[in-house]
Amino acid sequence: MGTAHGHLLLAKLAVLVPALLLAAANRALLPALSGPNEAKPSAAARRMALFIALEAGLVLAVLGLAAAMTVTTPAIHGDPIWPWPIRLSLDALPDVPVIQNLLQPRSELVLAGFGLALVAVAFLARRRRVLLIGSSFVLVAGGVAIGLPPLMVEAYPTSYARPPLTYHSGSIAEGMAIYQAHCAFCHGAPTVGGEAPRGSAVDLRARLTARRSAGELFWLITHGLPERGMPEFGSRLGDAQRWHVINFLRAFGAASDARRIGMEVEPDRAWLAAPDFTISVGPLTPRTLRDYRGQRMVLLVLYDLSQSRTRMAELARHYGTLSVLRVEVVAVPPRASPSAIAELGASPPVLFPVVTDGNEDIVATYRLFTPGEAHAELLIDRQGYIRAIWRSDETGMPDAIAVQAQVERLNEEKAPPPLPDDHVH
Amino acid sequence: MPVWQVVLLLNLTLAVGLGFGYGVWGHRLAALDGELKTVQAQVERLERERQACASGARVGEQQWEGRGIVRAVYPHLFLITHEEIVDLLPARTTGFRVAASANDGRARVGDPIRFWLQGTGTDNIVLVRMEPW
Repeated sequence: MGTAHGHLLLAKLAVLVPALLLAAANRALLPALSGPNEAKPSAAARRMALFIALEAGLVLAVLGLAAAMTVTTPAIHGDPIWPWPIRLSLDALPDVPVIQNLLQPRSELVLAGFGLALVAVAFLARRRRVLLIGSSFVLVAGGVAIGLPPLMVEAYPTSYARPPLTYHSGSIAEGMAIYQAHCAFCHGAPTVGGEAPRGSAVDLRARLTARRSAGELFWLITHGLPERGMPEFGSRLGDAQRWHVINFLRAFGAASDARRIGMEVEPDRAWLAAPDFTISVGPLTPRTLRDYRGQRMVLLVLYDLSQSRTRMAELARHYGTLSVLRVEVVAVPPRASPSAIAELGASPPVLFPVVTDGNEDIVATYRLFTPGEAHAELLIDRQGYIRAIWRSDETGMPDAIAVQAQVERLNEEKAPPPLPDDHVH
Repeated sequence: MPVWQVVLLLNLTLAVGLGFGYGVWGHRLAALDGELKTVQAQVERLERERQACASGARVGEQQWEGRGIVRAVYPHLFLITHEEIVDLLPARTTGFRVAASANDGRARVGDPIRFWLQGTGTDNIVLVRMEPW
């Protein structure tokens, strides 16, 4: 509805419907053509000729619109501009099970099905057809009037805009810096468990923020909320900077829930998408976390040599076993350094990737999920979801056998979860 | 026969002929592409043998160039995380036997290097030269 492709499709449908109605009218005129009265068939024939000409014109218009659609960017690739001030969203419902159960799609289907059944009966029944059709329309309209208003939320022209930036640690770290400079004073520090927002500023870790689409957040950041004292940032931050902030807000909100991720993998419960990041090891061609999708799990290790040397040696000794289990270990020291591999020492030899560039972005992003400075490890499954988090100061680090046990739990999952999107929504 | 039928018949014949020719040449193109790739691989192999000969290798041996980071150093073996070595190995960590002349004792864990391998295949390649990258 918000794209040129969509407008053309609606126009095509708007032209097609009258064409079909004219065709139905022509069909109704057919008996009149063969009537015994000499004058009547002639009038009917002229009317039919007129309807056919109109129908032909409408069909030509449909063909023209279809041709125009082929040279228009498909809606899935376009940037929709939502034309209405409201939109429908199930996420708008409060967390009340009764309302959610009442307004689940199956309830609407039952109501709509009942209405359609009445319409079918009306066409089959000869008597009281008007009454039956009218009743069915009242039922359907009533269902819509009851079911739709709670689903309506405020919308903006960018409500369905797709972020041009992927959910990547570089973008999240950049967004965090911008947030710290422009937003933290009112909305609180960019750390999970940090200070609360001041005054009427919204807590951006709250579920309400998570329910807003990325496009809506973009609009609010661009235009502000003057009635609530939030300034506009459209003139102060570029488009890319605002999208960076939105990527950070998504990670920030997800990190608040990351406390539910424990030391043990919960089978068939993948929900926390791991932000993508670039694995630069010296001058070798960089890879990304996304490259491992569908192939290997990743054990992301955030380490500091001052406290992690023993653990790194343990991981180095068991790397062969983990590799056989199709787990890649990716180690990230806190700061970029070309000598990071050499600093780990030669015995035992560390053969897994050790990131030497871009470390600060990765650490800043993933420290949202594991706050503090302690050695931390995150087990990311083959689909790209974080499934277990270990911290040396809280949960303690599992030995290699325990890590293998969690990996085998993931291997036993029957249905892998769908791949997370590369962009936030 | 009316003119429009003649025109229609000629157009249909043209369409069938074009489609048939396109299909036949499309298959031939795929075969030619395969032949070209085979010949290119042979040329590259001969070039590697020529380079290996120029550096004193035996007949039939080839030479490959790679780039990577030293991960472990042993007396006659280096473990190197390397990029793809074309026509030999994909990007991974591999242990390579090192010729005595190539190991000057200066390579350290973490050093990025360019290196050259000599041999007839993955079973008997030896690292014969390296330099900082």
